[in-house]
Amino acid sequence: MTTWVIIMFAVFLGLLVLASVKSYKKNRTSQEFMLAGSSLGVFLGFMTFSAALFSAFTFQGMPDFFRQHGIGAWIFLAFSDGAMVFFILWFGQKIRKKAREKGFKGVAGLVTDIYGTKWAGYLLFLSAFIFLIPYAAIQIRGISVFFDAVFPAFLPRWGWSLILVSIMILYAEIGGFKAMVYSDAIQGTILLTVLWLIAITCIIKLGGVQSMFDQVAQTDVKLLSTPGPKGLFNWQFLLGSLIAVMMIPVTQPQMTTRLVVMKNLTSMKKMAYSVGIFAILVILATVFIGMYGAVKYPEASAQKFWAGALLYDQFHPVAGLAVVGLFAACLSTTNSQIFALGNELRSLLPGQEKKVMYITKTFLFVFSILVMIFASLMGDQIALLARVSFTGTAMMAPVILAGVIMKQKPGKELIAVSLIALFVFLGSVAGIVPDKIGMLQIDILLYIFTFGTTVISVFLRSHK
Amino acid sequence: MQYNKKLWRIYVAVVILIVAFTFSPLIIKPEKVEPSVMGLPFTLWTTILTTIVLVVVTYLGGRVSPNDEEESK
Repeated sequence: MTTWVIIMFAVFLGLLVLASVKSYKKNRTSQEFMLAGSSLGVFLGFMTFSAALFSAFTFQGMPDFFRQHGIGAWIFLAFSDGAMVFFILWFGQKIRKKAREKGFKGVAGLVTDIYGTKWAGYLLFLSAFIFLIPYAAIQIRGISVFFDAVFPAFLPRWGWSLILVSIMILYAEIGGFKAMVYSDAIQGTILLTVLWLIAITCIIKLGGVQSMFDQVAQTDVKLLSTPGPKGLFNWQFLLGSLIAVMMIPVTQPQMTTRLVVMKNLTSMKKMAYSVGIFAILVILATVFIGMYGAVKYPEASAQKFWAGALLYDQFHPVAGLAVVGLFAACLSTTNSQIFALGNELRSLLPGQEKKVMYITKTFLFVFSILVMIFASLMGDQIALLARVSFTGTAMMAPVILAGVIMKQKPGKELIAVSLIALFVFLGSVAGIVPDKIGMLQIDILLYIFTFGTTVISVFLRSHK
Repeated sequence: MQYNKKLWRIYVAVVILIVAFTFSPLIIKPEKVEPSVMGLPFTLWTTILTTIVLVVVTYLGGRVSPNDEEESK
């Protein structure tokens, strides 16, 4: 298998070098470096959006989620993605309109202009910083656990993290956003191919789809319905996830930016349903891998399940491609998140172009180091950690949504609402605030609070 | 792709109905496995179908949703 890993890596790294050479241009402006000149067509736009969305969290987290909590994981992510792509039709048009009116460097900069106060931008940057660093760290964590399983005792986990982060920094600093878009296209293709190769092997090994689900029923019939064996997928969890996922294009700056940099609105709309098709295909493959794990590795740790189902139970070329696929997924998603943070910072910086570019590049480096530190501290519950990131950034939705909906300046009270929601949610993650009040989960309550106040504020100010 | 307000609103309503239907006890009923289709348990195949419908409605909605940009040739 090691030979195949080396061969696949050589091909992949060759493609990356090609992409960065093609993207490298001397004396780029920060706008060219960070936003690729805002001219993405349908194919590259769809691939870069999908690759930023589907990562180690999808590759490793989703099969493990299906294995442990059952088929409700489909509603958690795939159904929610279906709703999200429809929402993009409306939100994408609104944010692009505002971006045309105000100019676009980043979401934080845009809301600063819309609200007429830097506090709106600072709040958005703070939320992106708090939740994107751990989200990016999930990817690094995933890949280091995986490599540790493939090459046991060859390097400590932090050593794998260091290698990945180094490649990431080098690639991002040389190629910029354009290189990332190319690597996303490569990653998306590998991800879809390798997940289905693995899924088909899993189906064949268990004697077909019917036989696979019969065997899952014998292992634990609760995996075949909601809320699953541990009761995770209750309606509140699923509804909270639906809202959090629908808000990804609004509140995760790496995704918002990808809507704005599309060549035109028609391309963006085509990109939206293409992402929906991609989501169905990718997540369907993870259903079969997860069900395979439920039969073959019901009690194993996440690490043992990943090593077994994704590598050792596969044909060697597929296992080699799986290692490269996961590496590529980590690279593109982490890069997009780090880059988004850099871009948000850039959009808040005043001053000369050269100085802004220098500070942004320095902070790309600093963010990468922070990601590496976090990766060595966190646990293996990848899918649940990703949900925390989606939910946390979703608390910023009032600021952005009111900003793009309203023709006039939105009320500053919405900044306070989002800030309160952010701190309450952080309190619940830290265990200071209860995660349930009465019958309702805290995230549902916070959505009622934030969206309710947004509707009231927008209504009152629009009818003044 | 011309903006058609009436059709666009119909698609928005369809999406809201699909979400409500999927989250109703008709679909996410605890421990409901049958009827299965090709081995897939009830909640899985029904939600795969509703997800496909969402993506199809996104395709159709994209043809009639608000479009205020000059297309670059």
